[in-house]
Amino acid sequence: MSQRQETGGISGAVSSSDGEALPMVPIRILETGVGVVADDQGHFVFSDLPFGEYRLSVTFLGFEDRQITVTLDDQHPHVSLNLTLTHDSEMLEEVTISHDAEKEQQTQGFAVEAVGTKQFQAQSIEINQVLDQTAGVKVRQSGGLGSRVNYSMNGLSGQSIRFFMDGVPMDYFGSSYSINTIPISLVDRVEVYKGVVPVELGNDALGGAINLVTKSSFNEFVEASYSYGSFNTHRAAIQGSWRAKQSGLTMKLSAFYNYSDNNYYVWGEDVPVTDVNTANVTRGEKVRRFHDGYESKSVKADFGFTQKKWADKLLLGVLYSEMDKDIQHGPTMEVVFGEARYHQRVVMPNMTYQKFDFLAKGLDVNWFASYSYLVRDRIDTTTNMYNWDGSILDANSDRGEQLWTLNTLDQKVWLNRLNLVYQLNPHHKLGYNYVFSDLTRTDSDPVVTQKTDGYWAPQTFRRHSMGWVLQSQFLEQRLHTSLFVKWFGYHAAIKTATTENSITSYQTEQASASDWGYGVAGSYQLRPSVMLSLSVEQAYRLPAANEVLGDGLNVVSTTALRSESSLNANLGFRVTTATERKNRFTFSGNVFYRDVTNLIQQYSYDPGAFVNINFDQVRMQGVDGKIKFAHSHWLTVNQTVSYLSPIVKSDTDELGNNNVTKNSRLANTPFFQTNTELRTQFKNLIQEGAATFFYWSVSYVGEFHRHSEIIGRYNKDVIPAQLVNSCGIGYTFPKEKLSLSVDVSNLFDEQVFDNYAIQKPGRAAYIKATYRLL
Amino acid sequence: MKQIFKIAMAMYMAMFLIACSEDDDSNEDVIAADGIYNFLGTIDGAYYLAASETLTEGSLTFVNNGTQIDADQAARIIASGDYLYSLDYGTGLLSQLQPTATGEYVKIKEINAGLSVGTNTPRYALADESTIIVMNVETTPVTDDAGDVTDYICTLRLSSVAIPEMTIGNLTEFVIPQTENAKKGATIGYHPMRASSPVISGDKIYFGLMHTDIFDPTVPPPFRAPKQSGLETLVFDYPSMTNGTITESSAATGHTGGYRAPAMHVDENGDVYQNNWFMSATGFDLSNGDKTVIMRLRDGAYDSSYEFDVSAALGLESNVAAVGWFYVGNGIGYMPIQLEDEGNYYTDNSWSVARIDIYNQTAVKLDVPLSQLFTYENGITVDDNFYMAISPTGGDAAVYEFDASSAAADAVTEGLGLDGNNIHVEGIYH
Repeated sequence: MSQRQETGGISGAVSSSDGEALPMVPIRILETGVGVVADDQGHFVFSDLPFGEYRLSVTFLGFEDRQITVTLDDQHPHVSLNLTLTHDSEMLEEVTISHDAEKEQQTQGFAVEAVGTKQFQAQSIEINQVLDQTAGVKVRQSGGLGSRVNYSMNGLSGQSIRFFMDGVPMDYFGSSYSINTIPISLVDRVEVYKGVVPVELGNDALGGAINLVTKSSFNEFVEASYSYGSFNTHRAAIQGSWRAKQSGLTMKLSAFYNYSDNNYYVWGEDVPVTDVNTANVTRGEKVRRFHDGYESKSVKADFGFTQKKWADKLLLGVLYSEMDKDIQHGPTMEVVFGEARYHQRVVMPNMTYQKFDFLAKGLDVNWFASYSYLVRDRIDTTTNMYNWDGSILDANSDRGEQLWTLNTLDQKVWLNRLNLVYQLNPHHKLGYNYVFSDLTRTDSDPVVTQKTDGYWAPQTFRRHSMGWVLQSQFLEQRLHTSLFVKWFGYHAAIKTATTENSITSYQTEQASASDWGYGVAGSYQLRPSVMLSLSVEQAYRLPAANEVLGDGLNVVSTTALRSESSLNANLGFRVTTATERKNRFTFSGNVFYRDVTNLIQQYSYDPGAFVNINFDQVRMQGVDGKIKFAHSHWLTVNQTVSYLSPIVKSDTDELGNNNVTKNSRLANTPFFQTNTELRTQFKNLIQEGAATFFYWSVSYVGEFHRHSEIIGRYNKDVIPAQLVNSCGIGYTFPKEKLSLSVDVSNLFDEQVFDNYAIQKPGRAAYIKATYRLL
Repeated sequence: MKQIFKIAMAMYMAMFLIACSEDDDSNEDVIAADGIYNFLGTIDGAYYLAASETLTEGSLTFVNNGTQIDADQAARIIASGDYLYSLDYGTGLLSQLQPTATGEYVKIKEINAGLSVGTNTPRYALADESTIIVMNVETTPVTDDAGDVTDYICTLRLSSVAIPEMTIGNLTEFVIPQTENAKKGATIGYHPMRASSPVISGDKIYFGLMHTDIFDPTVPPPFRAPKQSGLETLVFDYPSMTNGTITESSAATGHTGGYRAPAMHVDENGDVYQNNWFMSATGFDLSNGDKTVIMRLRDGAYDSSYEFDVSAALGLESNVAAVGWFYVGNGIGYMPIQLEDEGNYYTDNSWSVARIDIYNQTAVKLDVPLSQLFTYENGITVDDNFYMAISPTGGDAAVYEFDASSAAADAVTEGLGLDGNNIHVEGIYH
């Protein structure tokens, strides 16, 4: 008598009623309490189940709950299910889209905010504006559409924050295809990781990471949107995908176009207007920006096969994007420019291969490779000097408004990203992630005579980042842990020249550094409604190519640069009330700590000459929190609060002088911020099946100082407190094909600054139409 | 529900109140700039002015004291009469500042001084008590048919600002000739790319010059080699600003326009005394003999009968360099000196101060702590004593009083205490 098989398994796929695969859906067997989470394609597996009757429970926010009873026996040891979830009409879809991914990552213990974009898709709004409303995130923009942005997360900013698209580092996508240009409609949700970053996002994110997640499905659809408004601003986007069911042949295309004159008014003490005859300066006049135009455009196409036996995804793609930007002024509005501008374009062929159960069951592979070719031109040759009224004050001034240049940067980068995940057993999962980039760049500048300097020869810069993670679940899934180790390294070959006795010789100097980072993240489900999370990481940021190679002019190269490092810790909680109640609350909060050392900064070692060094120390502590309130199915209120205490900890300055500002608040860092958004949605208001939404948002940022607040008493540079109101209304016609919206930002025309003496746009209005063709 | 709205409303009202409650505690009781002592301090790229009633006792701090002044890259201060004048280097805007009894400096008037000479980074100097001269040298490349640079045209653009009215005069443009001596050496010769430190004596105005190899193909701009022989000074008839000529001397080598400290002064007899800037750390080749000197100019030309070899008079083992000096009167001056053996001129405590007697041609190194004085801007004379701020890296900073009547090295008294640490006091104005 053969031995009787007594165990079996349940596998399947989860999708929504409109056919989209639903990733990250939690599925639980009520009898055993064991649960799994569906993968990126909505697949899930339970194995080693003793024969018997099981009830599978699926609770996914935004969808109706489902329970399915499955019996495993001799005849049916393995059962395959196709679970279809229907949209929960009682719930606000827009509210819930964001919950799921966020909850999933919080389950791993990370301090994460997942921002769903669905509710914003009909609005004329940029990703920057949406993320600025996120607890603990501050987006500082130096002007209107397309102007430079600096993300700050729990106080760490600039290069400390890394950007990803579907897990791929965006470092070499170019500024024309960045969080600053990509329309919100091309993004499904945005994941914001504060301080401690999961291994899948393999990069040296010291202060946090932002991952733009695009639509994962390849269902046939075409969607277009167009927005027009103040300052001659046009924003158009189109995207679509198509898949042949038989062959699996798949195509995906997205394109966008942004344009703005950015000719908004600026006024006040920071705008000096010169009388050309007397040279007298007056301040306080209201003037219009006249040289701040911006244009960006992009096409991204992918072609290949999906959901085949040999590949869940094999796509070849190409990204092309380009932008033109006028430069209106220098670091503040004090000096105005009329001709300086820059241009950038990038071409990036790329390949994605993704396979679940690759070679072995439970081994998932995801490989991305790209070659990016970027060209950036800076044009600044005029001898004209401009006034704030747009007139030319002097036609024979120093060459160049900012810096006399016709610099062209040619940058070629190979990027490889490999991600492997292996399910050891139902409770443990191993992950490995590797990102490698190999950068070669050449500068040229016909107006610089020292062309033979080694700097102008091709320079190379390589970076590696690797990570290993063990994800585990204990106590019937109430405790989740992630243990991880990361390794970062860079290597640069720096060409330099020296001249002795009129003979120039060239050398290649090698620079490298590497660091091991490590950390842990965990969450504990105290009760069904209460989750606690903790994450700690010793994080590093590698020096950037610019920081090591210099600029060939006033910033010299260095072989001594090391990584910035930070000990990051987050302690968070999340409380949710039952979803069936009429008034529903979600409270979440996060206490954080960052101890940053070896901050990279420019040091003037000679008059007019700089080199990057590792120097300052800063300690940040703070809290951020969020309350979401939903009433019935038509009202939601979101409230976020962030408070930061950034304290200078450097004992001395670069020369060895004791530091007077030690233990005082770090300069030029916003530290208090709140955002409130009220949003209503009414179904069937005008037409059956139509939806009308209205929102009003208020954001407040507390005053902060540009320089150390303990030095000086009068006339100190201050970025004033500001309260900005924005609102909008939109209408989605029946069948959700066409949406129209009107948005008004900065309703009361407040003078708004993110940076000292750089005014942002006043009141602006936009209309937008979104149309789903298929 | 209502509760929540009430709370939210209350919160925003509170924020409004916080935002609007900036209290204004400035006091408009004005005092003349020459009635107090004014200090320029800098930390982390920001510049502040603070006042003290004394130079000899107590202490002055910039912590929660003083007024921030506009400074894109740096602030340069001039004191004259009731006012201070502050040039914002980087925007080219010149402000007239009025000290008040609370220690605040209130901006009275502002002009775009840089515009008058076509730059955001002009140099300026007090030429006499009613005139500020604003200067800029524009270098225009001359190219051949192949587009290669063969020469540069260096045009001095200057204008004057009448003070205290703050009215700007006409622009003068003058192509600074490249002397035969300057054409020698370097790739296509050395070019006069900066004119500075003007002084007026009689019917002449004198400008010091800085020549460098601006074509030099192998080094970034800050390190371009300076002209390795001779001294040059640009002279015009004043106030007509005509008959521009260059006077030369081969007695020593170096730049003649100072850095932030002035290189030229006029004595009681109307003679112009000028120091040279000759420092190995800034690209000068000392192998043919190191010499820091004071030269005399009379009637628009170097006076070949006078040469004061400060290096020799000091008789120190280390090479000595200087960028500028300060004149007290009766032939006595004080010169910050860099001692090459003590380290880097810009980042180390390698500077001391020498008392120099330009009539008797004697010099003595004073007993003051070593510090960094390359960027030092100004000291002042009160009752035959000279006062300057000395801020040694890692040491205590203070105002030092030098007794001009004594030639002793220890005729030095430590006076008003300063913050020290990383607050660097760059000048005292009166």
